[in-house]
Amino acid sequence: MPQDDATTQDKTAYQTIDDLTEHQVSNTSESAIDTRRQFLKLGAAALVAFGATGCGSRGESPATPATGEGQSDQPDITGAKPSAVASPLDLKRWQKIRGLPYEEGDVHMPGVCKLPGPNAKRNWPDRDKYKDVEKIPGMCQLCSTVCGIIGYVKNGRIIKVEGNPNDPNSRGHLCARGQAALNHQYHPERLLYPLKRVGERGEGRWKRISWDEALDEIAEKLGDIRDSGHPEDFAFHQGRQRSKDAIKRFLDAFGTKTQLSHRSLCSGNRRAANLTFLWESDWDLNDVEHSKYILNFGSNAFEAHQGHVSFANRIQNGRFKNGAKLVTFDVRLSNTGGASDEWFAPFPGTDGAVALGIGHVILAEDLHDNEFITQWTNVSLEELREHYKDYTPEWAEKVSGVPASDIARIAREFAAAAPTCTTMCNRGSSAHLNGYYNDRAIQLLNALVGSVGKKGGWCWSPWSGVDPDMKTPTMPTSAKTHSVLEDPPEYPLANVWRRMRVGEIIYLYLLQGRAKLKAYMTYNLDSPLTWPEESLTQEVLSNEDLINFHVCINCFYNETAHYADIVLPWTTYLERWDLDARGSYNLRPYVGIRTPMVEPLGEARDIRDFFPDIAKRIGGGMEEAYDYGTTEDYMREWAKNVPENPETGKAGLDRLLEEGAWENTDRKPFYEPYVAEVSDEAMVGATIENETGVILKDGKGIGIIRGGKPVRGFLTPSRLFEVRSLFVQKIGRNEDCSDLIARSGAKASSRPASHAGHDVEIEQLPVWLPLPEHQNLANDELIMTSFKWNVHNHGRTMHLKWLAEIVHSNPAWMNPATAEKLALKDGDWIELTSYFSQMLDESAPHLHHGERDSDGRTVAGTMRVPIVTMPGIHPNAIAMSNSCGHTQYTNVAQAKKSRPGGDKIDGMDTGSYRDADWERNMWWQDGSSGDTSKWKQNTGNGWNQNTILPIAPDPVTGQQAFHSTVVKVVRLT
Amino acid sequence: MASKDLNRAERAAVYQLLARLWAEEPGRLLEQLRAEPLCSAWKQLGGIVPDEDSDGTHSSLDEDYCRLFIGPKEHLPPIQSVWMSGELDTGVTSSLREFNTVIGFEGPWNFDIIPDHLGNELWAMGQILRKSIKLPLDENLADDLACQFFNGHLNWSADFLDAVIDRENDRFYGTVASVTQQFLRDEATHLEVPTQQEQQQSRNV
Repeated sequence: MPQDDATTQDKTAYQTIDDLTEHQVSNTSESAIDTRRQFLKLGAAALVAFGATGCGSRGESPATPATGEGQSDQPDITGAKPSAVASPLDLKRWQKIRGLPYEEGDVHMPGVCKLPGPNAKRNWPDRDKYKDVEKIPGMCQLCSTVCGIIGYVKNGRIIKVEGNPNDPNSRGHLCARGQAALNHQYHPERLLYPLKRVGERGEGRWKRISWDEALDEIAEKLGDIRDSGHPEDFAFHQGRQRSKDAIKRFLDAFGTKTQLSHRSLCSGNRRAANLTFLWESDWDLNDVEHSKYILNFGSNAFEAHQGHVSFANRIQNGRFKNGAKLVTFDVRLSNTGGASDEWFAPFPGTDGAVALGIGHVILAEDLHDNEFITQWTNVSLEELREHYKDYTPEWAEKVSGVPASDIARIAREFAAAAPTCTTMCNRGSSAHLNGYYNDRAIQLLNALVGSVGKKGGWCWSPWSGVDPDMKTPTMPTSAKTHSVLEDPPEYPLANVWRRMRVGEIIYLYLLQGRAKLKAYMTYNLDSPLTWPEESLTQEVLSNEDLINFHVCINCFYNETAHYADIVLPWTTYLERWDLDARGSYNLRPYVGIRTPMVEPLGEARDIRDFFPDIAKRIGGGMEEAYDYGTTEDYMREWAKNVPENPETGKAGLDRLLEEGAWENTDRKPFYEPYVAEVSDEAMVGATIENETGVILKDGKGIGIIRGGKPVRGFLTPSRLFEVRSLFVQKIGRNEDCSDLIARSGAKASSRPASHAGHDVEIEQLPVWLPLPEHQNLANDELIMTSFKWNVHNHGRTMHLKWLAEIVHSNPAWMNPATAEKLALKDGDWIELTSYFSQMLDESAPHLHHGERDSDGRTVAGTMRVPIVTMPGIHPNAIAMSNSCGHTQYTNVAQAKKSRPGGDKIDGMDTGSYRDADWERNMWWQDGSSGDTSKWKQNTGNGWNQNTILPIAPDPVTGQQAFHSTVVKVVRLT
Repeated sequence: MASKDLNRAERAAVYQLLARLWAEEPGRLLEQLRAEPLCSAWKQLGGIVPDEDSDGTHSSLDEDYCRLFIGPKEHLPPIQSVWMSGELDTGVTSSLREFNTVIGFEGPWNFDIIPDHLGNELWAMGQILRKSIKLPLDENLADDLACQFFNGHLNWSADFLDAVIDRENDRFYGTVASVTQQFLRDEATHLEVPTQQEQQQSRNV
C-alpha cells in the first residue's frame, strides 16, 4: 500500500484509541483501560514511525509493502522480509493442527538442564515416543573412544542416543558419557553466536558479532601473518579433535606447522615405548578378548582408557568367556582395580620395577619363550639374563612394596598363560618422570613370553584411524615451518616417530620469550583446567603481548574461551561431518561416520564449513585447498571406496549414512605380521645381508630371513623387535640416524639442527629410574596422583548434568593409616603445597621458574581441599580426580544455580577454604531449605588439581608427569 | 470477543516493536525510538530511551544485550524452551515451527534466532494480528489462532521478564521487560487467556 495511505490509516487508528469505550473493555478497571490506551497509542506511534519511514532489520533496509489475499494491507512496520508478509494465514492448516498438544515443561528454571522429574513420567512409558523417529548414525565424541552411535531424531530433535551395533570396535555399547549427548546438544548455555571481546582480555565482557565480521577480522589477522613470511607465528592448539584432515588442510594451506596438542599430557610415554620396540605403531591393541592372562599396570580401562568401551567390553569377554585373569597394579583402587581378580598398590612410579621383577623371574626360571627371543628380538638370552640379573623380586619389593612372592607368582602365571597373555598400561605407569622406562619395562614382558602379535597377546595394528582405503580429496603440500612450541629441542623422542610434541611447556616457553604468537586459534581445548600450572596458563593467555590475537572455537564458554578475543560457536558432534575411527581391537581397519543428525542450533558452525571461508578471504592460493565443493561432496569423495552392500545395494557415503560404519572384513586381523612371507615379486631386486639376514631393497628394509624364508619381520632397522634400541641412544645424543631410518623404511626422522646441544642420555634397554624426590619423603609428604571417573573426561563433561549428578566433586583420597599419622579424619580439610621436581631442577634448568623456599625447593602452588579416607590408595599417595573445579563452562559445571534475584551459590572461597557447595550439596540435591544443620558433606564442584601440579615433562619424551608431584600436607583447623 | 477484533494494527505494531527490542541489539531502532510520537508513547509506559555512547555508537547497549541474553555466561536466554524445560529446542520449539507454517513466518533478523526466542514469538503474534486484519469479524479461526499462539508461546514469559526486571531494574532492558510484561498481561486479559500465574494456581488447586 502506498505510504501516504498508511500514514492516513495510522492517524485514523491513532484517533480510535482515544475513543476507546467502556464497552470495548467492559470487564476491566480504569487503570487497565488507561494501560490499554497507552499501549494502543504506542502501537499507533509505531505505525507512524515505521509506516512512514520503513525500517529494515536494525534499520538497514527498507520495508516491503504487504500485498496478497486475506492479509493486512498495513505496511510492514518493522521491515519484515518479503516472504514474511507475502503469504496469508494458512487457516486450513490451522484447522488441521489446532489443539495438538505440545510438550510443556513443569519447572521454570533458567540456565540449567532439568532433571527428568515426576512430571516427565506422567506419560511413561510413552508407547508413541519412538513412533516416526528417524535413526541417524553418528560417532560419539564425549571422550576419545569415538564409539558409533545412533541418534533417534523426531521432529528435528534428537530424543535418544544409543550405541550403533554396526560399529566393529564398540559393538553397540555406549557409556554414560555418550548417553549424556542430549545434555550436550540441548544445553541452555551453548554458544550460539560469534562473540567479540569488548573489555580487557579475561574480563568476560563481550558483544555478539556476525560471522562475516568474525571471519573478516580473523582473515585479516591471519593474512598479515601469512604475508609476513613467518606463518609459524600462527598456532592452532587443539584439545580432543576428530577432524584431522580438516585441520591439516587448513594449516598446510596456510603454511604453518605450529599445531599444538595435548598428546604429551596423555600418552606420550606409552607411545614412545611401543615405537621403540616396533617402529610401526605407537598404539598397542591388547587382544584381551582372546587372552588368558591380563597384566594391567595403571590402566583404568573400565573407566577412562582411550579405548574405553571397546576395550573394557573385550576385557570382560576375555575374563568371562575365555577365563582370563586380570591383575592390576595401580596406586589407587580404581573401578578397574576393584573389578580385577587381584589388585596391588605399588609405590607411585614403580610399575617398571615390578615389571622388571616379573621379567627376572621369567628368565631365571626358564619360563621365557626362547624361540621368540632368539628369532625375533635383537638381544640374546644371555644379554637379557645379564640385564635382568639384579632386578630380583626382592629388589622390586623393596622399591615398590609389592611382595616378592606375589611378583614371582604372577610372573609364573603370566608365563604359563603365554602366548595368550598380555600386558596393558596407561597413564598410571606412563605419567611419571620415569614413565618412558616404566612402559618399556612393562611392554617388554610380552617379548619375554612370546605373546607379541599373538592371538590373545600383545598386539597392534598399523591402522590407527580411518581405513586407509578412504582417500580424501587432494591435500595441500605439508607445511615446513619450525617452532620451538611444536618441537622443543630438549625432548628427543617427542617428535622423531610421531609428532607427540610437548604441550605442557608451551605457555612457559611463551612466558620465557622463547616463542611468540601473533595469532592463536584454540579448538575444543580447556588448557587452564587441563594443563599443569593453571595460574601460569591464565597469565599467558591473558597477556596480549605474548599472544596477540586469540580465536577460540568451542561449543561452550570454557576456561580457554574466557581468554579469547573472538569466540566462535562450534557445532556439536551431532551436527557435523567426519569420517572417523580408532585403532580397532579387531585388529583391522574400519571407518565410521559422524553426520549432522540435526541442524546446528543458533549460528553454530563447524570448521569444515568456515575454514574455507577464511581461506577464501585470505586468498593468495590458500583458497585452492577448498576446491572440492561442499562438505557433503568432500565426504562423498572420501567415502567412495566403501564397497557396495549386496543386501542394500548401497556403497560409499550412502552406505555409511545407512549403516554408520564399515569394517574391511577382507583383511585378516593383524596377528603375527612379522611372520608374513615376502612375496616373490617384492623380492625381485632385493639383497640379503649375510650377517643379519635383513632383506634390503633400494636401501630400505623389506624383510628378514627366518627359517630360510623371507618374511616381513618388524619395521625396525633390524627388522626385529628391538629390545635394545641403539636408535634411541643415538637420537638422545643428537647423532645422525638417517642410516637406521632408511633401513627401517618407517616414518621417522633424526632430530633437527635446532636440537643441537640438547643431548639426553637414553638407555638402550629398559631400566627402572628411581626419582630422587620420591626416595626420602618426609612424614608429611605424599605423592599426588590423579584419575578420571567413568562418567567424565578431563575437561569437557562437567557441564552435562546427568554426569555431574553422579560425580561433581573431587576431595582428596587418603589412606586411613596416613590420615591417622597426620591426625586427620574423614572430611577434614588440608592444605597441600606442591613442589617442582628436584630431578628436573637439576636436569632441566630451562623449566625453572618461581622462588625457592628455605630448603631450596621451589613451590609450585598451594590448595585447600577436604579429604576422604579410604584404604584403596597407597599410603604414600594422595589422589584427586580431574574434571572438577571449573570456573567457567556453564552453571552446571560450576555448581551454580543461576536464578533470578541473585540466589547464587558461590564456589570455593580460596581465602576461607570453605566451599558452599561442599557444605550444602549441589543445589539440585539440596533439600535443606536453608537449614544449615541439614547440609551434607561430600559434594560440590570440586577443585582443579592443576592449581598445584607443576610442569613436569619426562626428560626423554616430554610426557607430563601428572603423577610424580610431591606435596606437603598440613591439617587445617 | 468483539474487543479482540479491534485495534489489530496497533497491537501488531506493539508486538513487533517489542519483538525487535528482544530479538537483536537495537542498533538504529533506537533512533526511531527517540522520535515522536513513539518516544512519548514509549516513555509514558515507563520505557527509557538510552543516549548514544560518547563515540556515537550503541556499543554499551550491544554489550548489555550480549551480557543479558546471549551470554556467554550467567545470562537469561529469552528462549521459551529454556524457561519451560531447562533445555534448548524442546517440544515447544516444534510447536512454534508448526505455528510458523500457518503464519507464513520469517523473522527479519540479522542473526539466526532460535525459533522459540521471545523476539520471534512476539513477531509471530504481530504477524497473526496483521494478517487477520481484513478477515471477516466472524472468522473465529484467526482469533482462535491468536489465542492459542499467545497461550502456547507468549504466556510463558512472566518468569523470564521478572528475572530481567530484577536484574536490570530501571536500566534500559529492565524497562523493556517491564513494558513487555505489562503489555502481555494486558493482552492476556484482552484475549481472555489465563496468565501463567493463574494457570499455575489452577494446576495447584
